Amino acid sequence: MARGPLQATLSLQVLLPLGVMISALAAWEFYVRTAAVPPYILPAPSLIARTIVTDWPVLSGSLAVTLRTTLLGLLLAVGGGVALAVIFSLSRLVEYSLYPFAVAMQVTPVIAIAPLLLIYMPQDTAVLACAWIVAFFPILSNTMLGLQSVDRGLLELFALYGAPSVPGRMARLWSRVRILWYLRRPAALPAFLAGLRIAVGLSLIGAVVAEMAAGSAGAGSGLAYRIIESQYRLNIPRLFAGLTLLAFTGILLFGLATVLSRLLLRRWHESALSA
Amino acid sequence: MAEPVAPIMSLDRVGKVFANGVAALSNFTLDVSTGELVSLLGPSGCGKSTVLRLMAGLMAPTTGRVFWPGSRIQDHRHEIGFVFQEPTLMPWADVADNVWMPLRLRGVSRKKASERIEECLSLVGLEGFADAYPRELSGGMKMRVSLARALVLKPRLLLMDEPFGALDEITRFRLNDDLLRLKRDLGATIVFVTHSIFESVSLSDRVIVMSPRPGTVAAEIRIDATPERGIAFRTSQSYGDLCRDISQVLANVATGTET
Repeated sequence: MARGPLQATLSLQVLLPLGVMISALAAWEFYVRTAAVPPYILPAPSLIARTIVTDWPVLSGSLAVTLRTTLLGLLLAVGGGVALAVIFSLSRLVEYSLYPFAVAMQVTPVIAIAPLLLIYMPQDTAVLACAWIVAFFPILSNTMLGLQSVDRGLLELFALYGAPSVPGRMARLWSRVRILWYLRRPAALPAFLAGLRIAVGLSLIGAVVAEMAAGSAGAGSGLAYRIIESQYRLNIPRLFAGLTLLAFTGILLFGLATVLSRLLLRRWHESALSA
Repeated sequence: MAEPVAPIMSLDRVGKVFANGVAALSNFTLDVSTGELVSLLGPSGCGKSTVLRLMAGLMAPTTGRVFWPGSRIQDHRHEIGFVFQEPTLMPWADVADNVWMPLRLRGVSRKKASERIEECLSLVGLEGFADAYPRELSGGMKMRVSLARALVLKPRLLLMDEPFGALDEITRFRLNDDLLRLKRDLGATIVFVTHSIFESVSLSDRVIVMSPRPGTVAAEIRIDATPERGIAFRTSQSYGDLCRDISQVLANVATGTET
């Protein structure tokens, strides 16, 4: 009974932006055709679509390279960010000594670091490092926030029921580890997943930025390199085709992260309640 | 005292001064006897919750002694059930897993605990809700889960810190009646913090009225009601008289510090 209006909103949420996009593309196509804009100034959407198909052998290879860098960078960022957040939550001393550097790394624009990395590292390692640097921080800071957002009452209950029966350093560490596993880990999940949704997009940006910085050096093979190359050769339809593929990659990755988040939180978290 | 029952827990001239210099309690003496329900009643900020935390061993007294007479072991934390003002449930775990938590921390597997979990859920009237998540429960039901969790270790002493304060009055009376039934069936010893005069009279064997900060025992009122409490007692003449007397005591306590 209550499904009717809900489904109506859902289809509106899908149909409205779809309609806007189709009309914008149609207007674009119409303008290019009637004004006879040459394709090296502005290619029509139909031409871009055809270019994606005809240039697919070249573009698909580049897409695979960029996608691989993005996912690997993300994976390392998740591993490193979560591990560091956990260490921070176990030891104040480590947090105080290292956190400022994590912030410094985040606020320095990656585009400015990329040329340096390209000097000191082989190109694919440098590109990967850039993707990792930008994706790392949202994971770290969100996981830290999540690990700290445990109900105080629950911590007191753990102090009551889970207190070490023998005093000592090891026993204290053990009880901290238990609190980490039983309380902080699940409590941090929503914030971590929000960080992940930001990090997937940033990882792609990091990969593209590094490829572009490396691009002029000429040894790249990723999508961003393809875009720069097409620009030099005035192959504007291919430039648009590369851009389109990048956009779809970003949307797809964000969508996957969102689905993962919904699946993991759907039973208990407010954010996964609606839709 | 009418009957010489050995106290299960004693607070002997306990004082508590917090790190920020606030004196929460001074010279607080109380014996809790097996099987009784003592409620602590007083103006907000008088140190009622501090008394519970001291009893639970969650903090240490600044002066005086908190001890279990007739027991040689030092650490009694596993013999205590604690119910907070808020249900403080883990939102990511279902009802059964929330109740399992104290047992899990003591190394009891979920399988071995399942019978005890079922038992505790039926004690609080939540049969069939084992798989529900806290989000899906009403305020009263969440409080029942919290109570079941406090009972799961078969505590010798149940400490309750204004547990029903956030509930509406109808739900509150229902839970009060259920608590009285639990106390009778399990022979539980309960210390109950409240700021409701009605609640303290309808539940308690003894009401301890506390003075404003630093809290101390201002008055002790015995409630010698029939074992059958419930609605019959709450509508009786003696219930009204007791509520009026305690209101008067509270008023005297409040003005006493102002002069």
